[in-house]
Amino acid sequence: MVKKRPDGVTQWSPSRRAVVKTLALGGCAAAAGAATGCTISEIYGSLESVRIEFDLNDETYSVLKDVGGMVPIDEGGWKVVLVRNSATSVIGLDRMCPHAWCDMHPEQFGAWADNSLICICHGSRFDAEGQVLAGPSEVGIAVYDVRFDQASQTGVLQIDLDAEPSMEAELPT
Amino acid sequence: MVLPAGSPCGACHHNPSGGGGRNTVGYGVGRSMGALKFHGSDTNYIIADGLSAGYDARIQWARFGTPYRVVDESGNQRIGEPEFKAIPMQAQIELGYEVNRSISLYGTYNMGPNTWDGEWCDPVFPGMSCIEAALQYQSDSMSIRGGLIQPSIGIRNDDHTSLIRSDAATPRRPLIPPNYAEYGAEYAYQSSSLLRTEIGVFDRTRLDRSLNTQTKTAELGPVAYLLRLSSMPKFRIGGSQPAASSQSGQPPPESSDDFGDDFDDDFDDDFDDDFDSVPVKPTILQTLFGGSVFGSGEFYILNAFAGAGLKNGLEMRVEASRSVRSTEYISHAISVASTWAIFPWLVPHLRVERGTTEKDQTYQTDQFVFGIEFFPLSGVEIRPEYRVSKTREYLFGQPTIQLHLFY
Repeated sequence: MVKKRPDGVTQWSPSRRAVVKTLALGGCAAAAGAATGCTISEIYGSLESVRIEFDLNDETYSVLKDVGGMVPIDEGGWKVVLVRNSATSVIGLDRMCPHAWCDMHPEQFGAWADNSLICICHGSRFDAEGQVLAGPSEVGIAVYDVRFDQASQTGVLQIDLDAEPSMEAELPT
Repeated sequence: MVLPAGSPCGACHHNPSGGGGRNTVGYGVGRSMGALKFHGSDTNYIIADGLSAGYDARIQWARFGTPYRVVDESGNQRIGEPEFKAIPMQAQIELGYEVNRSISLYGTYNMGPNTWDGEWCDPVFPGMSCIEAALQYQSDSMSIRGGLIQPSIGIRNDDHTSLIRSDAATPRRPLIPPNYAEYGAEYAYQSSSLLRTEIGVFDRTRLDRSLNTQTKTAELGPVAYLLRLSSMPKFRIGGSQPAASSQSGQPPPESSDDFGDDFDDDFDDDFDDDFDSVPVKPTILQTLFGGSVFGSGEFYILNAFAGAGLKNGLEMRVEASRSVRSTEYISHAISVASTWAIFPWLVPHLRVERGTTEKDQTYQTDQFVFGIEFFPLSGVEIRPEYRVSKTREYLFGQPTIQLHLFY
């Protein structure tokens, strides 16, 4: 297998049996690794109930003054995107596309068009109720409770882990 | 591949920056890499001499995505993982035509996820180009290429998940996407025995798509510019075996400069159909140093790289990058990588990276990849890897497998 030439150079010269054996062992190892998973998964922090009051006169949320404006929210472990989907409403949608878990953050893989949230990773589309309009995602996304007052240009996003999903948020006083 | 091969990218590829179609020399190198060899054509010419064709196809098995949190009806939280599945990661057709020793044309076409459904150009990432095509002229000391080409930014890497061309805040979406190309021209000049200079001017339409789709992050200028400086000196360490052919009766230079002639001599000596006659010359140390800057308007990416390798043996390289989009979006990354050609057909590799981005806050992403490039046959690569990605939000490690077919 290992030869030393007269000029001192070392040569590796495997036999056909060695190659086949290596191929078989390597293939088995790779298949075993893949089959068993051997994955490490950890998400830092934990989900908490959140209540976020927003004011469109605040620079952070000013993009919501226009229909189609999107603001990402990362609080309490939640990944949400606030979207001004009409002249009178703001909605809160989950940012993680269930197809391949691309983050539909406006600076990453998310876009709003034709009254739908689009994951530009692979083209999945979701309507304002989180329902799938187009694949490849086969699962919809969560819709979070947002109350918006057009007159005052303020609103609140509330996610309560302990409450029923249909609980309505109370507007700030 | 430059460091273990001991030759620049353009020695094997039509594209002097590497990647894409292979010329006759590159085809021969690819043919010699299989553990089990077959005797096929001596060239990848089709129809006529000088007209070559090739392809690169990759299928990737992995868990695509990130771990996610699931909350059940009782409020219990658990961590979910993306499903392990296969995707066609690359399907590229390549053509090259050597008009004569000085003039050549080359091009590639990349299929997208929906090409079979009728979308002939279906890029996955904003800024990707489905086509790369160039006309180039080269002489002993200079070359110029023009067309729809990828600027020679840093070191061209097969793996688009590298943080060098990415943003740590969004590691799954590269800043400079794979198959990035712009209309433009690039001039290369080997001004001295140790220095290669590349200067380019390009359109910046696809760069604009990459940086400013959905959210505007940088105001670009009317054009994009490139400046790249590099040097590939060779050093003899230990031993007494000259690196170049002795057929001419002349001793080789201490450090190689004109890569064309020296590489031809080495290659004629080194590559034979019989694996037993391929020499390993660990006494020649190939090095690579350089840097590049590419940008337009408020955006630029600055790369610095260095590496060393033993021919057909161990190599190590470091690359660092700094990218700026306006004054409020600054990214840095460093990548340390190494490969070891135990055999020409069995090459373990390792890559460790860290990227940081200063934006509204500080983001940091670390990545680790360990794997093996296994070539059971010429034109076939099986690449099992273990990949770990750590951000401030999650840690995700998984085994992956890639099947790479190339010609």
